[in-house]
Amino acid sequence: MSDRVFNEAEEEWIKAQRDRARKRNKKSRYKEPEGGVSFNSLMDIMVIILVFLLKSYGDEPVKVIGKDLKAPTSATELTPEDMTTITVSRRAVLVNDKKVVDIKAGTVDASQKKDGAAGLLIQPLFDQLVKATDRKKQQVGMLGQEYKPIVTIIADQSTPFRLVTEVMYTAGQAELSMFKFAVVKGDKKRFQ
Amino acid sequence: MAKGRRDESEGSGDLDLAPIMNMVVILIPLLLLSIVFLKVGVINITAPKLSMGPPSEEKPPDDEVKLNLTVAVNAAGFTIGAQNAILPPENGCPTPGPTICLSAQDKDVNAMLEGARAKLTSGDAQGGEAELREAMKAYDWIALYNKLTDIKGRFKEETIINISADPNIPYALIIRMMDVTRYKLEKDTYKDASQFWSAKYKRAGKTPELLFPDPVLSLPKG
Repeated sequence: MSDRVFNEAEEEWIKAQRDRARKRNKKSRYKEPEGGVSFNSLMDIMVIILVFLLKSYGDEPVKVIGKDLKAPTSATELTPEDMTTITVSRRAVLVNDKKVVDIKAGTVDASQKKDGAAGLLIQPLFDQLVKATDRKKQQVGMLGQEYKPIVTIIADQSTPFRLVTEVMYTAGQAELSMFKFAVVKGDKKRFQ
Repeated sequence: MAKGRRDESEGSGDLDLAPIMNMVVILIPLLLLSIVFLKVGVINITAPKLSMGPPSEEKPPDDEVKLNLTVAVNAAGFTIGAQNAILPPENGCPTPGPTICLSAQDKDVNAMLEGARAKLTSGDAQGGEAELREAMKAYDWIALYNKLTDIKGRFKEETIINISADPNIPYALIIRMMDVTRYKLEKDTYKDASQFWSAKYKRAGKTPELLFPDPVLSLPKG
């Protein structure tokens, strides 16, 4: 033990050091509330909105509006199901969002049809539908559910009637016998 | 000195939320813009049949009168066939001609449809849609509804309607025809367009009363 005697200035300095150390310890144990804005509640709201938007983004079984596609408006009261879809846009025919054949001026090229220009069966569409149907049957079989030969057709509003019937005929040949036309639900008043 | 530096770094242990906030704030408007808030519906359709197909296996009994209602649409109007006969043109429509002619007979629907299709293909979506709407307005939907309710009055159990059209008739027009022929409205006959389009469905309980809700598409062969 040293018996050194501190002078007044030194004692003051030691006291100041101890006070500072005490204050520092106090700070680390008890956090005083900060004066800034708390982001926590705002973050909660944002995350909830984000999750909701992401969910509704991927929730819709069929997309009826896109580039080169706008389904017509109808006053129907039925709702869509998640089934095999054929999309007929202004430029292409797609099966489950996979492009199968091009459309030019509202018609499919005669070389793509089984019987030429007057034919109704679109060969690439038929092949793709057979594949899609087989896959769907397997999926449904694995889940132990009953297979329904339903196909949803999403066609652009300007699609010629001839092309619609060609697509339906081809789907019929691929053992898809129950058709549903996807439309945008709208009030009749807007048709006036 | 070294101790002091360590203390400072330990003191700022809070998670910095600013970058996450930035990301979330960017993502929300992006998703809001990309989502289209539309209600999607479906219409049930029976498979198309060719008009020159083989005769049906099921023959109706001789005393049963089959309606076999067919509505064919072309650029001149609607031609209605029932019981294997074509109904004559209504009053005010040219003869020979469709059963229900256009409400605006001076309009060249074919040219309008072609114009609409050309605009839509060239990327003028608004112009194309407006022209398509105008072409559809040229048809006499009220007369079609009035005629069909009249037929339904005589064939109450019948629900099937065969829909046929010229090859170039747009899909939107077929869907509109299905809308008009699906359910009964509050009145059986209408004269005024605004009354007709704003009329509600006639309901028996919760479900609307049916007119001809089972459309069958058919394509004239050749």
